[in-house]
Amino acid sequence: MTQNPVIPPLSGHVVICNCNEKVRAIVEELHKDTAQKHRDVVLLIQDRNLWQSNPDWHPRPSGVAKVITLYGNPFDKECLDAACIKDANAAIILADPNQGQLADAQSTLMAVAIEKQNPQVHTIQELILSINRDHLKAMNVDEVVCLGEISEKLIAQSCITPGVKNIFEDLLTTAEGTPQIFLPLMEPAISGMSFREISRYCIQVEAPFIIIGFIISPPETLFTREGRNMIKNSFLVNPKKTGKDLRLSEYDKLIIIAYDLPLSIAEYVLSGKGPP
Amino acid sequence: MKLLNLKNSSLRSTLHEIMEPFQYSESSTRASLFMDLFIILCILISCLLIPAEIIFPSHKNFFWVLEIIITTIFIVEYGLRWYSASNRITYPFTVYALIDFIAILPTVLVLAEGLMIFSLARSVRLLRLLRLLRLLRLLKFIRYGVLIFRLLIDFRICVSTMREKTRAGQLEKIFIYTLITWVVGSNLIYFTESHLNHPTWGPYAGYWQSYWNTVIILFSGIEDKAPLSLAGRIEVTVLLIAGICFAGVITGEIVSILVRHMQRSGKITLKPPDSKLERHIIIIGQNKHLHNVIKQVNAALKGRHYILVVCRNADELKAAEPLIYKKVMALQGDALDSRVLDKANLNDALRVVLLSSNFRAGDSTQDIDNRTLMKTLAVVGKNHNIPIVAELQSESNLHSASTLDGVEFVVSRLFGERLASQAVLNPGVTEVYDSLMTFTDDSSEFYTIPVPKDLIGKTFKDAQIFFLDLDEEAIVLAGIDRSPPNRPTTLFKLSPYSKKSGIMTADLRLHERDRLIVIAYEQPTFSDVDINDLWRSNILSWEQTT
Repeated sequence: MTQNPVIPPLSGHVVICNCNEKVRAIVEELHKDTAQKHRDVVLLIQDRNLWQSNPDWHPRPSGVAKVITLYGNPFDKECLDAACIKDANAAIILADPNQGQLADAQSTLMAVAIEKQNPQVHTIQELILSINRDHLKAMNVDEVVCLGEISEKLIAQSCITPGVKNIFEDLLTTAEGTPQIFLPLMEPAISGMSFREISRYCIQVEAPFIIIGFIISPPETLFTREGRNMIKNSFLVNPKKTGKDLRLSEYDKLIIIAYDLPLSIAEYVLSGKGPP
Repeated sequence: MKLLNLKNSSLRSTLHEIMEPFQYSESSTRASLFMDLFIILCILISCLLIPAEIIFPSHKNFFWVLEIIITTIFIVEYGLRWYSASNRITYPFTVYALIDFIAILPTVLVLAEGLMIFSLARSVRLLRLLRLLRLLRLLKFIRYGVLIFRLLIDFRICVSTMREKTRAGQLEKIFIYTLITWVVGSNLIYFTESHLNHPTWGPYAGYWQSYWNTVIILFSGIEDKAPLSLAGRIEVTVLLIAGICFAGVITGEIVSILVRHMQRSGKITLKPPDSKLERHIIIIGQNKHLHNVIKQVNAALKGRHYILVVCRNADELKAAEPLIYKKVMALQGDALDSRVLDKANLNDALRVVLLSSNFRAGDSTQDIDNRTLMKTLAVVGKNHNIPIVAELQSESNLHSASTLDGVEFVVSRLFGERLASQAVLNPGVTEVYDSLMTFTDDSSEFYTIPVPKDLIGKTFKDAQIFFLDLDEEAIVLAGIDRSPPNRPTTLFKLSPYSKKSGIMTADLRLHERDRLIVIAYEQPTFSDVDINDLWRSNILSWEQTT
């Protein structure tokens, strides 16, 4: 790690490793979201020459959040320390453009290195070959984004239901005035209620969101990060008859489509339910 | 396909499900298919009995017993249909019920005559007429129109594929030449021997005997049945030489079929030139996504439609999973050649998917996209009504590409970047998107459906409650689509009660022209099908005739 500026202590920021042509759109997408526009981003660049020779990859400053560029090897502890990985909220590991189609191995090792430094950080890895997805399950990588898979699935979706691509496009963009999928935690006030009951009360008060499913999380996943991928969260989008009447606990999450994350879902549920 | 839908647990609904004609849709069961095939078989046998009674009068009694058995089956069928009908009062007056009744009536009347119950059919002529009226049973086929049509298409494609695989055309030619040689040779030797030699003696003295001896010469080469005349011997010599040639050619053909079979083992079946596909999906181009696109489309359509892959190296494409590739064919050629598109039966296809070509040395993403765009133009030029999905590498081409109506362009990079950002903002959300994008039996996807008749004029809220309480099919109403028919899902709103959706609550009353955006496990089956959607092929997995 050489010639890096001394950066002020950061917290709750996003670290992006292996910057490639996608980094600009990702940073801009992150800063489009009104709730996230103050989130700082640290770019960890391995290949300085490649980065400098591609100015179109560089994110445009949003004016509110900081975008800090650090040069160095993300496998070095010093480099990760400099990026304040211990206080980071998330780390995105993109595919190294120098590694081509075989970048998955290096990306996964980088994710493991980051997880070792800070097991609390939410790691998101870009995968080149979908065949490698299974191997990542044991590596504690939180989320995997595989462009190839997305392409295949979207093509099939559009083939079956013309226009459905636009729905995903609308949901995925973070721009103001577009809906997104949120996963809010169940609140103690509505704990013990079923999907059917919560949905009904929210529909009755014309809540500005639509509940489409829920995630049942074992309580321990909330408190421990160790081996969290061993405990499979069971999520259910569009529950069937029995799922609709399953009682949800305060550890569970709802899956909703909304324009903004509602401050309190319980508020809508209780007002729909009316006085006891 | 399930044997039975367990969600309909009552006896009446299960019976209704079995008795309903098989529709090739998700809701149709195997039991329904078996029942249809059984009834079709009964109809065929009962109709064949009419000429059989005339041709073989000695077996008249046996045929009559068969006739009574079949009529009993039809009576039971009629009773079951009536019992399971949604409206038992009006059922006997429906078209299909009347046809079923007409199918039973002639035999019942003949039986009644036998039992002396009615005097209606006392004259022999009237009895014959009644028996002939059993032909009206052919009308019962109307009910099974879709099934018979699909079975015929599948049968035709299957036969032409088998012919192509076994090179039946070549073998047919050889067989015809051999037959001609045999017939001509047998006649020639018979006439030579019987006219030039002893007409009553020798191996070729009898007409049919000469046929037998000639075939032995042709296929075994055994010449112990020597003709007595010189001319006959010359003829046999020629036949012996011809026999050697035929044996060689046939052996060669069989070996070639076996070698070809071994060479093509594990590869996608090539589309026979004379086979005509209908209601199929065409995938143009080949890249690393091909297998998974086939897998996804096949999972969505449950193998009901053929998938045709058109690319230059079609003969090398491997069928990775035999079960998935059962209804996948490949056609060799460049999609820019309009003859190749004709061979792919583009005008009879339901959808076209254009995959980006693989990178070649020196190719830029622009080059790849230009190739895809040119192929898209070629397809649009040939058939501008067919829905097309095309894969592009760079978003910079989206603007120019958007001038083509009815074509959806997918740039996966855009979605990947956004999904990565979403994963930061809403941890865990990628799994939800993955589930919504994947076609499996236990995952839901987005569908757009016309507003059910009962919900027209109701509010969006009423519709939400309707779907929440609909336990037969799990459906979540997510939004409303008010796009023009030729540009589906371009003017829609998810979660429309939010102020940010831009729709006033008062405007959330459902109109007939609206479409609902729902999350469901399969294309919802409860809704009426818009005939325009069928014509425009907006609906693939639902084929009920309206």
